[in-house]
Amino acid sequence: MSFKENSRNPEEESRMLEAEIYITLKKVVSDPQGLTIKHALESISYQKVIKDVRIGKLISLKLEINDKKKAKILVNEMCKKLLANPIIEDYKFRLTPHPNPSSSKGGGKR
Amino acid sequence: MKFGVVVFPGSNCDQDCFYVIKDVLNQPVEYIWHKEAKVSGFDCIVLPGGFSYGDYLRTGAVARFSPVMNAVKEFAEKGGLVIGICNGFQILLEAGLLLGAMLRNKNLRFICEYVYLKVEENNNSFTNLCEKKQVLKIPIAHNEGNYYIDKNGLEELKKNKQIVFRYCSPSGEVKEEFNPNGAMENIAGIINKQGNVLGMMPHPERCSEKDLGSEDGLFIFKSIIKELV
Repeated sequence: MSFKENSRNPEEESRMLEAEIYITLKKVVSDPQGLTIKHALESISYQKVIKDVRIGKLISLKLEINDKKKAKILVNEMCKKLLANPIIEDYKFRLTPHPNPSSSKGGGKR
Repeated sequence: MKFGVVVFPGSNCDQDCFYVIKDVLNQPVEYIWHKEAKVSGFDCIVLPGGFSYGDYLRTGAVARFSPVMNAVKEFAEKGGLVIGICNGFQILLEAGLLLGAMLRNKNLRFICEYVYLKVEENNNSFTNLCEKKQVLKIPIAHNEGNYYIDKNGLEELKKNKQIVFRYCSPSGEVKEEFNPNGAMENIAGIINKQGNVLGMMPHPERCSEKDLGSEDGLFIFKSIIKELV
C-alpha cells in the first residue's frame, strides 16, 4: 500500500533539520553508572571482552530551520547554555535533514 | 531583617526552611515563587532542597533559568546573603554562582542519613558561631552529592578558603571512609570568593529542634542572623 506523495512538498522537506546530540561525561570524571554496568556485563559472562563502559545521553532536536550553518551555531549555543554542563560533560552532534511530519497528514489514500 | 525562601516547581524543603526561620527563630520570612523577576527587601535568600523540575536533564539545570534566578544573581552581586541547601546548592552550581558541579553519588544510591561535618572555616556569614574544626551532626538526603571541580578550581577553593564543610567522622577525622557520596576531598559545602553565597548538601533545616535529634542546623541559621544584625 502506498499513499500519494503529492502533499509532501520538497520545499517543506528541506525546512526541517534534526540534530542528534550525544552528551558524555568528560574522561577525567568518574562514571559510577558506567562502572556498575560494566560489572553487570561481566557478571553475564562478557568479562573477557569488556574493557570499559561509559554512560551518556542522546538528545534529539527537530529544528524548523533549513540553513545547516545557522543550525550548527544554534545547537552549539543550546548545548553550551543548557543541554550539557561544560564542567563535567562533552557533547557532539550531527545535523541531518528531517522530512516535515505534517506532510503525512491529509494526502493520499491508503 | 527578612528571609526569602524561593520555591521552584518540585522544591520540597521550602516549608521546613520557612518553619525553622519563622517558628523556631522568630524571624520575618516570605516565600518567593520562582517566577518573580525581582526580589527586594530581603537580607538573606534561601534556595531550598527538593527536586526542582524533577531533576530533569541534570539536577538544577532547568531551575537555574527560572526568572527568580536573575534576581538572585543581582542580589548576590550586591552582597546579599544566599544559602543553597541540597538542590539549592545544585542550582547555585548550575547558575555559576558557585563553582564546580555535582555528579551522581559514587555508590549510585540515594543516601538519607545523618552525617558529621567538620567546620573548616568559621570566618564567614554562615559559620561565625562555630569553632574552627567543630563537628556538626546534620542529615543528608541526596542522589547527586558527589561534588566535582577541576584541579585549578580546587586549588582556588583552597587558596581562598572557600571550603566550609567536609564530611568527617564523629570526632572530626576527614577520611574516605566517612565520605558518603564520593565528593572530591569530602567537600560538603563551599562559599563563593566574595563570601556571601554558601552551598551545602546537608540539610540544616532538618535538625534545628532537639526533638528531631540534633539542633546543629541552628549554628548556620543563627550565624546568618548574627551577621545581619
